[in-house]
Amino acid sequence: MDRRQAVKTLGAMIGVGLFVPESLLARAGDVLEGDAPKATFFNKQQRKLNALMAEALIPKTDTPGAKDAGVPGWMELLLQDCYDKKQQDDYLQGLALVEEECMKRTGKNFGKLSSAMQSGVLSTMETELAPDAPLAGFLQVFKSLAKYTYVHSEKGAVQAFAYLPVPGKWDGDMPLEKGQKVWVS
Amino acid sequence: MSFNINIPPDNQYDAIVVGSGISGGWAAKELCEKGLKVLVLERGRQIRHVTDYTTANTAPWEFKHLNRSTREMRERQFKQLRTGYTVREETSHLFVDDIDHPYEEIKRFDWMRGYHTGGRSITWGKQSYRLSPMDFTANERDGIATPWPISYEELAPWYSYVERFAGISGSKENLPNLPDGEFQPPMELTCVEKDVKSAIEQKWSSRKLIIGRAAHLTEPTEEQTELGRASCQYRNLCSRGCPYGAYFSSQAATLPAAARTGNLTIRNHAIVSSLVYDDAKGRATGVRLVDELTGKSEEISARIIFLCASALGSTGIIMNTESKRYTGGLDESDSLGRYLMDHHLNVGASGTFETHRDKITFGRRPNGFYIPRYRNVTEPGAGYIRGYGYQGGGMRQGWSRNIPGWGTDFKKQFTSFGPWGMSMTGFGECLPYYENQVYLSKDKKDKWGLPVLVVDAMFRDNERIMRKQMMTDAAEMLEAAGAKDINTRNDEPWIGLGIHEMGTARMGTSVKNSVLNKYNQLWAAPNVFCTDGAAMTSAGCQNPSLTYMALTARAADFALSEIKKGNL
Repeated sequence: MDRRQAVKTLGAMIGVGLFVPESLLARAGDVLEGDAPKATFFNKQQRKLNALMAEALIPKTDTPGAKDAGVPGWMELLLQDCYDKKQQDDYLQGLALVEEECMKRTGKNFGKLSSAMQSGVLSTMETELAPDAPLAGFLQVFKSLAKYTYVHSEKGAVQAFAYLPVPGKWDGDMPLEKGQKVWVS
Repeated sequence: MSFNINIPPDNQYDAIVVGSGISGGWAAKELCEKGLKVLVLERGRQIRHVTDYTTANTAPWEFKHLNRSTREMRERQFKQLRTGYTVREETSHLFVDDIDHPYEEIKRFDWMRGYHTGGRSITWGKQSYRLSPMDFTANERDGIATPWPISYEELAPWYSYVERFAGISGSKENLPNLPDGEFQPPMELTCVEKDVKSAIEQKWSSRKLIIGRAAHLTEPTEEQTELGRASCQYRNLCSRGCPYGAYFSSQAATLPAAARTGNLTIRNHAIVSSLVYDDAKGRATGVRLVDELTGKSEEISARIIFLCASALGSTGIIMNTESKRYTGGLDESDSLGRYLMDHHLNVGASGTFETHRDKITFGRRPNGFYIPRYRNVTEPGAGYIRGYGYQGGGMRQGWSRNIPGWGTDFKKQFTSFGPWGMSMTGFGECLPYYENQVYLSKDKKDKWGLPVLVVDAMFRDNERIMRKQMMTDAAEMLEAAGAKDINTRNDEPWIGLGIHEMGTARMGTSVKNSVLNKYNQLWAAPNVFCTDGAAMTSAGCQNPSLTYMALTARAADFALSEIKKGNL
């Protein structure tokens, strides 16, 4: 592209930057349909448990839940391609510990609990376990990965947060209006 | 933008510039504008402005791994991503492959490199501070290393010259220990930063918290607009390359200025291995290079040569130069390869604030605040010489803060603003130590047959002692400003983390104490100038790139006056 033309086009982007039309963002997302490419890191049970836990952390409310945002798929892909062997092993071990602890506390498999109970039992584990217990450590690793993938997924960024690619200006002291979502980039 | 990449058959250039990063870009611009035919030799591939910033407008979900570094990247770039803030999907292509570009380290040394047009000017931090009068007299005053051969006053007009062209945003503060420059309007401090500023300045009369001075356009000049540069859009995605040319890089600023003279040729994939040295004449006749793609060697001659290959890159070239008179490189002072410096970081404090819950920020400021050095200036240091500044930011915490719970309550907090938080990190001066060195490996060679560099350097007692106060001062300032939950850190530092390699071919007052004279000329070859970080005689605690720009412009001006006088 000719440089002058490039600058002109970008100039136009600056203009619309403050009010990004939903339609534009929707189009950008068509490529991936808001979902992650398939990964083969988990077995079937692990995949199901991981997805249930993600939804138990970030349930659907007036904004998308983890599942609708494609979080389980993204988590699996990142685990598969970004995590080291040791981290991968620890993660799978952590999932097994969740199932074990859940059985101990409720007498049921995690998947047999209602969604409210799923969130509840994980919250209780988080509060009650010693901070240096392996399961406590895993829950934080899980949350960190689930948060990251949700915030960076298209639906999470655009619907639950305020995704603003080109702010165009800086204000270090702006009133917080009611309903203002948290900026993400 | 397109540059002439057709090499004239006779290889006749007035000047060769080795490297196209911050220093090389400036050398190219200055020499081209003065009418010389300039050949820039860049060892890596071409990156065109805007067009080749392949991730500049990529949304997070468009990255294959949501912008995380992958195991595959870590296998190829295992050193480049050790700093923790360099290699991700957005920037992986702007850092070298460590398997293809090896170096040896006796002690941990992180050497972050970008081998491509523009070098590290694409990924640099953009903080731009002048050294102060006291920095140029520090070595002499302390009786260590060797004195700088120039004073602040000699460099000041060149700072002004490069600032006007590069575009530095900042505030005039009238501080003797951090001279003002030619500034574009400053970016704004956040409301919490303003509070902390008042609290600090009230309690310690000689400490100041100011907005960072950064190479971002906030009010472009006509000259900058003509080059296609626009104001900062506050995306803070700078390290991907700026499609607006809003921050200073070779691509956005110096190279197009050089290209429009018609005097510039850039050749990519040209790895300069040494100077071609003529012992009888006591000067270099050209450079020897290896073509990165074909592996073929060749020589190119020129009247003058600017080495701007980054501190260790330039020093490696000087060391690898054969001469009957000099052994181990063009130096007789035993300072070549010595006195390697970096700034030491990884120390400071953070905290949160209960105030301003009804305020947020808008946009993403690619800049923070700065607290200029006060230790051993207006307040004594506890058992060390020199001092440190702080860089940091006070912003509302977002989604990445620690949030307890699972389910709807968690989600509500996760998607809401957290409290204001602030962190500040010290940037400490490192002394020039003879023992901190780089040399050519005797047996290890890279895939082009060139000897790899071996780095043997560490921070020592003066830095270690300084760090204690760097940590406690930071916590005290946050405490004075009413911060809660203050955390301090003082993690083991290593050379390279600051990505501010300096020294190894320092400037000095005599052939007996330095590699370069006061105009950055090699004592051993007056037609060779080295104007990158290698030239630094001491480090200061300020980010150094602006000083390389000023030294380069000054040296280019001197080179022309010498050519006109018939001396070169």
